Amino acid sequence: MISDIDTILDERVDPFDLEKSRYDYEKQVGRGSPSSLTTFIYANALIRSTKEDVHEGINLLEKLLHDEPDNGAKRDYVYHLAIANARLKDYDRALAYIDALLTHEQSNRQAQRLKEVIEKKMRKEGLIGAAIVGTGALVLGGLAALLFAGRK
Amino acid sequence: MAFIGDADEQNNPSITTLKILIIGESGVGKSSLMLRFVDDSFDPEQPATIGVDFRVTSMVVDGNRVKLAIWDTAGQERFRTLTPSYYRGGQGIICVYDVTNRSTFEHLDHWMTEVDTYSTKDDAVKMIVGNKIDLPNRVVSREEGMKFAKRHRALFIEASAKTKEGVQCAFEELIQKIIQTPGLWDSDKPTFRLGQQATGGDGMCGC
Repeated sequence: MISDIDTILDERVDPFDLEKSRYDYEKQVGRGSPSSLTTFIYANALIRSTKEDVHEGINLLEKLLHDEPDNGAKRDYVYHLAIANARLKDYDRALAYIDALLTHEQSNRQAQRLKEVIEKKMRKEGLIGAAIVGTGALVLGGLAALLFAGRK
Repeated sequence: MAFIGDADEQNNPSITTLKILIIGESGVGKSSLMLRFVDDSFDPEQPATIGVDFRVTSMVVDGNRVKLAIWDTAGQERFRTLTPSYYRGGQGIICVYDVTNRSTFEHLDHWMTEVDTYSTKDDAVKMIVGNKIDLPNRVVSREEGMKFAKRHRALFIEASAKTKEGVQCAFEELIQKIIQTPGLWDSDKPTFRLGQQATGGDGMCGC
């Protein structure tokens, strides 16, 4: 089960956990608006599932990030958005998110490590190149400033 | 026992991959212990872990290469509901407290209950680690820690991720104990390296 996992990007959700978090989330949706914790747990399961699920997870995380006033929780969403986008091989976005986190926490080894893993994957897939990384920076430039703006 | 790099994987392929979990209250030094062990580094301003961090490393125990997947969980309250799924399949569980913070020691009871509730391996090896022994303001004595560990049939060690003291020793002792519990690790791979067990011969596959 675990022998094939080399990085956090290879981790897969247990189907039971996915179903349970989906059940909890949908129950809360049915009653009104789901709590951010329940949504986060569900999103966290989704981004470790199939491609379609990862997309759905990204949507939920982006919404959480958008609505979140607290920087402490924002870093959680940004980090997981980096993982989710890397899983979809959308490396530009993944790097933009992880760079946003690193701008805020320069010596965060967990974030540095994730960035290395993403770049290693890009090299493996022959995607590394100034042009591609440059585009990502251009598209999502200023993300860091937007994300952690204000409260400090 | 010694560390060897990836290049040695071919000469000495790992006999198994062990899942090690690090749990405990926020700020006790879980990530610091992992980073000291895996990277031999220390950051006095280690930020709070996001969700779960995961590192793969390897070590040689009694001549056998063992791959380690170390899961460093976030101690913060809001990640608590995420953690249970990470217990699954864990063969070794390191539960950390801070010897200068009594409440982190008192919460060990809660963590032990979690382990008993969520661990899927009945004989998973538990280890209690009292961290930050380099600090002068200790409030939890070694005896207290030892007594707690004994009561929960767990290994016990005091350590300092900052000064390295006890860190290597903690992981070595844990891995050795897991390896000495054959049913705990080889049952996942019934066909594991068939015909390649001639080397070593120190009776570690004596089942």
